[in-house]
Amino acid sequence: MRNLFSLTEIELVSFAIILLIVAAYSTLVSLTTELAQVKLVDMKKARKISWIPFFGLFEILRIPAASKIHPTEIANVLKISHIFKVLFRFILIFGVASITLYINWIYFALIAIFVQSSLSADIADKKGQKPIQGAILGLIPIVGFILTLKLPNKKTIEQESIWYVTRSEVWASKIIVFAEIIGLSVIVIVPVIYIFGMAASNQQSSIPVDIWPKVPTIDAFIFLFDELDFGQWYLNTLTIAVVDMVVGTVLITGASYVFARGKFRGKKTGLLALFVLQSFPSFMGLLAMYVLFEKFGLLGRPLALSILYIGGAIPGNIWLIKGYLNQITKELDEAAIIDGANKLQIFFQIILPLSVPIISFVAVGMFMGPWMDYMLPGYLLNVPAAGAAIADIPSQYTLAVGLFQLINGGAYVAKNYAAFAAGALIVGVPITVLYMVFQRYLIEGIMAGSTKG
Amino acid sequence: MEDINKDSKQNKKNQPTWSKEIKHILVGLASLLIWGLGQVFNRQYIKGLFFFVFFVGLLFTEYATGKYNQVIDPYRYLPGTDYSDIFATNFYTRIYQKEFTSEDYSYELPDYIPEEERFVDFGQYIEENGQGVVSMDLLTKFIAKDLVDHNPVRMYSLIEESTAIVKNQLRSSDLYYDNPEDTAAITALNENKVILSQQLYHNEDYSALYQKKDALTSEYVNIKDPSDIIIYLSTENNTITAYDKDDLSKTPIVFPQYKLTGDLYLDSLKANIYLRILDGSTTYYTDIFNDPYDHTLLTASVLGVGPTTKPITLQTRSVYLDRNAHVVYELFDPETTVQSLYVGYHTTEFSSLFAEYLGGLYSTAGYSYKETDMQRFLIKVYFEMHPDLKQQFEIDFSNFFYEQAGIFVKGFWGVITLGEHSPWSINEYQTIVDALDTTGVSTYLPSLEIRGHISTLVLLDGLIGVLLLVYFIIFMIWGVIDAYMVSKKLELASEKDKNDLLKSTKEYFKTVYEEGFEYIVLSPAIFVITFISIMPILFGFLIAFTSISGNKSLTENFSWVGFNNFIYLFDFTNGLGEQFGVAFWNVLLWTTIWAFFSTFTVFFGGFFQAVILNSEHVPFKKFWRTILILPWAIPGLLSQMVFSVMFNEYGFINELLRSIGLYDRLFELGWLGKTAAEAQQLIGLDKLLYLGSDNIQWFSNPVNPTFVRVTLIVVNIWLGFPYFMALMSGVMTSIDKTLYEAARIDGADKNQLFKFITFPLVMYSTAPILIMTFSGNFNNFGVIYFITGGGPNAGEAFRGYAGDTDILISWMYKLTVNYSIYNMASVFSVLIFIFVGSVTAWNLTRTRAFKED
Repeated sequence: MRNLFSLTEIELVSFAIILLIVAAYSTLVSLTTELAQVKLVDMKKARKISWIPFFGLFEILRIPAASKIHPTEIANVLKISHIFKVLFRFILIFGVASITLYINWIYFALIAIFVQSSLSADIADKKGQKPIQGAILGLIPIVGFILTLKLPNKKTIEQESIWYVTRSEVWASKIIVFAEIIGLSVIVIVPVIYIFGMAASNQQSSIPVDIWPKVPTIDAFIFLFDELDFGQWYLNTLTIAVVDMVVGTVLITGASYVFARGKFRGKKTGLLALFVLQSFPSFMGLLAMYVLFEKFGLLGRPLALSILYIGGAIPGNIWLIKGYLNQITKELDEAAIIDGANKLQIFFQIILPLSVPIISFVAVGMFMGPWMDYMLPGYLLNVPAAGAAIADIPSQYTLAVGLFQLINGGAYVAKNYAAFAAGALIVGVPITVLYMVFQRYLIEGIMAGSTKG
Repeated sequence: MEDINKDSKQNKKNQPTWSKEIKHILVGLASLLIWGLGQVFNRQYIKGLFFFVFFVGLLFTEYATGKYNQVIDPYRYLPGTDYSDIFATNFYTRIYQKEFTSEDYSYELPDYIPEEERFVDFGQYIEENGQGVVSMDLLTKFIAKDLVDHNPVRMYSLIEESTAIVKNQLRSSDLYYDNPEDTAAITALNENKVILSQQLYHNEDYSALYQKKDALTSEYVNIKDPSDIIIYLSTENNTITAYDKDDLSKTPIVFPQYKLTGDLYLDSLKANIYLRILDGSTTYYTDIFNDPYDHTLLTASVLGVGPTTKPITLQTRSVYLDRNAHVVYELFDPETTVQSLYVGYHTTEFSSLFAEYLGGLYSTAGYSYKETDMQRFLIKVYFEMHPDLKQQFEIDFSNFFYEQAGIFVKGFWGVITLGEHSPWSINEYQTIVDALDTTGVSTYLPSLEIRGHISTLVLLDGLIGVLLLVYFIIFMIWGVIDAYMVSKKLELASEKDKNDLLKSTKEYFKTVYEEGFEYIVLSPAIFVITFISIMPILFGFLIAFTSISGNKSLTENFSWVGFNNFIYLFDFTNGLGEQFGVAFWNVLLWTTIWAFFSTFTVFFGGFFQAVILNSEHVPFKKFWRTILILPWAIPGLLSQMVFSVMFNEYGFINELLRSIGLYDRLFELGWLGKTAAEAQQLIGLDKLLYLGSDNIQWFSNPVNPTFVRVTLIVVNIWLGFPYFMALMSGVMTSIDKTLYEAARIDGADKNQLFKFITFPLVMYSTAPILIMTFSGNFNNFGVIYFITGGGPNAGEAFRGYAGDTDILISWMYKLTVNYSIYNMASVFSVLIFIFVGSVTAWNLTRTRAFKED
């Protein structure tokens, strides 16, 4: 990248002066136009003469107003505070534009395109067209803007009010908004590209410092499967996740149904107990789980972890599903009872179909849990299983543990940044895509969980 | 029957109410004593049987899981099996009736033992203690007695070549306080103990001999004058630098090192003892007793090594010097170690015979004796030599509760006591190996490790038992209440109702059966919750009140310490408080700061972004939203790890900043470029602006943790803002548009629309999430553990191993996983729970689902 910090003081000062002059001139032009608008003079002429500094202003001041206007309206335009406001806007517009241009011309170009697109959308809107049409047209540099301007008016509209869209205030807002959004998007995307680059770099023990390697390879992916137990890690995690999801969801759904519909001794106590339990953080039992696993010879056995995940998920999720089931009207059950259905039939034929959304939400949550959990496997799987050799420890890992060891260098897995990145991609891409696709539902689910319960 | 009933009814009516009440309570209590008994009193026999079945189930479980009908042999913890009585009898026979043994028995007695005196002891012993019947038990006891009797702890004068017996009793571990007369002598001698297995050092003019004070310090003691301690400074060139103890400013003396053989020589006059010293190829002898100032190194010719001098063979290699009397004693104590080897018991006449016999058996084909049998035998002999040890062993390994009790009784015992004894490591029995085994079967018998009551397992079993019992107790309470209530109803009911009530048992069971469906469905969940959720949490909670700490604590015994671990947090001077007291408050402060800032930056960052994204200026909102929501969709663990790589001192970010020229500016400003030593001196603003020496140390700056913390909070914005952005965009789009229109008509400007409509509505619907996020960040293990690993300055013992960015949970995790300080880790998790639990509980009580039930 170019050296951005090599400007001398003289360069900075001259930049500031130029910026000020340009902004001042633009302010003059803008004020002139504004005055013309206030005085309702012939705008075509006014626009032309407004480009001449000072003369334009005086000329417009001199021209009598087209109709009677309130003298304060002119005074408002020429108020010092207003003048500075406009000046400030132009400094902002030109400042941001030139700084972004200085940082990277692509950045500037993107801002320009999107500002134009946004303006076009506004214009299209004014013309009674669909804004999105203008926005898309506006993506084509310059030509798109002209095309938008030439769009037919769907409602009667003065040319002047179309120009109104492009006033300095709007420019300033748009340029800042897009500078921010595009800048932030870059910040968001850079780590993502970087991890792709890291995976393609095949740099093992040193950190890649380029965002994209000069010679991309897929060696890291091959290494992952040939030299490491990555396949095994994946399998371990998948097994845990599937068992956790299937067994856990069945247990939880059954229990929730009973708690939502059943009347039995101890229901209230049970619910209260579950409620108390779910506020305990699961890591409180970390050592107990270790001892429990040691007692039953389960240390180092990935599959055994799923029971811990199930145990941890039961209390909270029972409440979640029960809350949902409570919203299903009980009249359905009663009708079914009259028809002679028993509790099991009611559950399978009425409740279950109706509660698919919440059950799938819980199931997905249970499935996702083990993928990215580090605390439990990092502790319980880092010991050889009964009868296994120390060298077998890496084959017991889950993905989270394995990947962590790849960047931090564990006792059994050597540091390998490229392999880490490759592994992270294999794990992360499907999850990320899923989340992106279902983001609306997930966020709605979270909202529902937190506010409605 | 009816008459009696009527009578009793009449009687009842006359009784005062309190006595009736007592009757009902008694009926209830009967059910408490024997479940179902109260129901029988109420004449509900089937119901009574029902409860009684569970009662029997409880008792049977207790009985079946215990070993109540077995006799517990503590020696089953020893390996191998005992030699049989026949073994002992055969031995006895061979000794006394050797003329009757077969011809191939080739044992011959050593010549130096007068034949008639030899085995009288054993024969007598058998007569006196076993009425002439030989048993293995008696043989073991006798061997022990024999060994002890022939190996008294004694002092052997090397010059006089005579032995002074210090003690002739079964030795206890405490050697010196048995005989008051001897105590003084031994104490006096002990002062000048010289362990010759250590190297001795001579000073330059041979005026003094030094030995290292102990292996750990670098101080040397003049063996002639122990009060004269010199200080050892330099190990370079293998020299000693000695300082005058009284005047450290004196020029130190540098001593060359001599190699010491440890061989002692006695001159022909038996006047002096000399120590052999090697100086390169030359051998010197030095009189270790003469006046220090006359000390000279003598060569062999001067000393006359050869016919006039004989080497002294030491059995124990530890020698006591009595300076005043000019006598050198060798201490013989078979159970002490020298150079980590046992001095060991000497073979006696009897033991040599036995060893020979044993060897014969072990080398004979067809015998199935094993090495472990030998080990068992030797340990048993050793126990006989040490009755107190034996007694302790038998107490420890026949503990009723641990060995015999069933799941419930053992459970309660375990929770209350946490187990009573630590693991045993028996290796002292190796002192008698040489005396009893000449066969070489046991050339090396390992130290026997027997696990004790491992407190973690005892507590775990205990909790399992107690939790199971809780379910039984719930059942019992049900029975008691039922008995009480029915008894009460019966009293008030008329005769007809009474019959109905008694008949209603059937109805009762019908409802129980119907509820059965619920219980069956719930049972797996109850099981999992009990043992995977409740039990670990209880366990984790309880160990906060124990002394469990250290690598071995998972396999050893620990005990309850009450609130001590919590007191450590306030007492910075004692025990764990030194390490964890101040560290805890620092970590807690940072955890709170972290939770606060990470939540609010993310919350308002997301808010800000949502406002921008939803502004009228932005077309293609979905497109931008999709890009900006990426950090939320990427699994947090992965992005956290990627950040730890990117922000590494030698990572991508630093390279980027260098390439755009920021580094040059930072060097000019002096924020970068100071050496580590200079950085340590920085104070105030300079310290806050110190970013690293050659590179910006984002997450590893040891001097400026504030910078690391700020960086962490900033990086966390990346991870967290999209969630709130998405959430709030959702809220904003769902706000009723007419609200805005109405406000606009009323003349509100943009700022007012935001201030009075958007902001309050968004806040209202996201505030609960804000609270959850706060408690989530309080426990944000991932960000800390994966990005900084808790560093900088992590893993230092004096600050409880907590790094500058460690929050409670990551600290707790590391304490558990890496440092095995379980009790403090547990204390912290209890504290985290108190915080987080109350927040979640409070939050949940507000939800509709909770209020409905």
